[in-house]
Amino acid sequence: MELTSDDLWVLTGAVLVFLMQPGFLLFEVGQARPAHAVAVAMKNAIDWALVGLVYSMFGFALMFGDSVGGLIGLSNFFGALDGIATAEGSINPYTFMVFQLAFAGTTATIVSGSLVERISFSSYVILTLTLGAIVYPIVGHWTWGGLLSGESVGFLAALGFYDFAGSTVVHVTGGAFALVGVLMVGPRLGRFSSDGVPRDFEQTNPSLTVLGTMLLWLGWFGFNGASTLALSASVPRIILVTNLSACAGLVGAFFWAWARQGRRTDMIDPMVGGALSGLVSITASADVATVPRAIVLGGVAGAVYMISSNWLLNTAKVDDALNAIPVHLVAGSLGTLAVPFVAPAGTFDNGFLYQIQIQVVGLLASGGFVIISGLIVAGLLRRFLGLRVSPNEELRGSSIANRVEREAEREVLTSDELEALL
Amino acid sequence: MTVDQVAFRRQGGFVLGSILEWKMLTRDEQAEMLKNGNVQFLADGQPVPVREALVALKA
Repeated sequence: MELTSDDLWVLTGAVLVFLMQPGFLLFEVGQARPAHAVAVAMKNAIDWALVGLVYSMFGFALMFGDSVGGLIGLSNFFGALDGIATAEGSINPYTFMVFQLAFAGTTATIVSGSLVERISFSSYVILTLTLGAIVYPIVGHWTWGGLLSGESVGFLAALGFYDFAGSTVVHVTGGAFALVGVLMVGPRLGRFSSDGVPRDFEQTNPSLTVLGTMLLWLGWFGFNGASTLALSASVPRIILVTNLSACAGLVGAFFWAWARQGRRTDMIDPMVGGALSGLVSITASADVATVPRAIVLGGVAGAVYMISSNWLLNTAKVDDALNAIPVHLVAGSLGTLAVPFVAPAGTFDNGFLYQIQIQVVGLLASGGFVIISGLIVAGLLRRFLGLRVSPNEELRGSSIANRVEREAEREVLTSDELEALL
Repeated sequence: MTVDQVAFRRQGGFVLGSILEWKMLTRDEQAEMLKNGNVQFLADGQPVPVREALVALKA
């Protein structure tokens, strides 16, 4: 099978999506406390490697193997793609796998941003493996199963659920898993005062966060642009609406923050969060959205980002360290529900009202499955393994020197002391 | 100083809990954890030496 320009474009897209991984790394390291910067970088590297292995061996098969009832794929394990169904003129199956592999890595990385500075390495690894090998592929199968053969074999896709490049499949999945993780792990020590007022923490270097955002933005051109799986005439317009939605998201969040809170020295969070929310929200509809509606969607996503991130922190007292929940879960949900509104009339065969209903069903089914799966896994980890690093490690970082010092500080009481103190 | 949180050591990490959860443990369970160094008390997000914390909780 000879490679075509379609293969070249999709492989280029995979490289651009891989570029999002260092983007996430810089985004997270920039906002983490200096003592945790190395550990955050390490987690970003390890989750890419782990998901690369387990998704290739198992996840791809569950997502794109022969479907069982539209619920799960069960063929082509261990990277064996011989015999996989393909449409005439489709890209090479291995090109497709490389592209999908990059998506799986992106989904897993979303979770790390919420849990930085306090999740234990072993728990993080188990959560990442579960997400990359089982949860994400199953959700993906429901919407994207049969993508290579051009048949909608997943039960949500068969019902008409539409998610072009993954507002739900990637971002709601990652964001919902992060939500469960944040609730089960708890806030960083000292994040809230005794009366519940959030405290600001020192950041390693916010400039790195901006650079990371720009890399993510660039990577998104491959994420959405190559989701056509062909170098088709729609690619330039997809990249254009992707870019404009991000621009509008940044501007929308920036001016929302300015109008509500006044000009402060810290406007980086609204800028990066708004841009990413614009990118996430347009992902479901980048191939059908009109240019003006993509801009409106991005602007709304930016404002919704500000509202939801403030609500989570100040009202719900949820310590989502890098705002992965507003960016991925909230903006992903918004983008999924907005699909019928941003597409021109007549885009969907079943009509406008049916499309609204099925978008709600797809969102709830996918998000619900992720949350239940996450609760089971994180609940077991919490019960038996312990989800957090020690308080000393959390407050002072996780370098080897600190770890040695930490062990020396482990307090053990004698029987006589226990008698006196208990 | 108000001791307001407790971190329990599990097999591979810690779980954050409230002082109420600590008080709901039996005396034997508490003693077992303290003997093995499997508990750490916190006040306003900062670790407190175990002996100090127990004195404060008893008061």
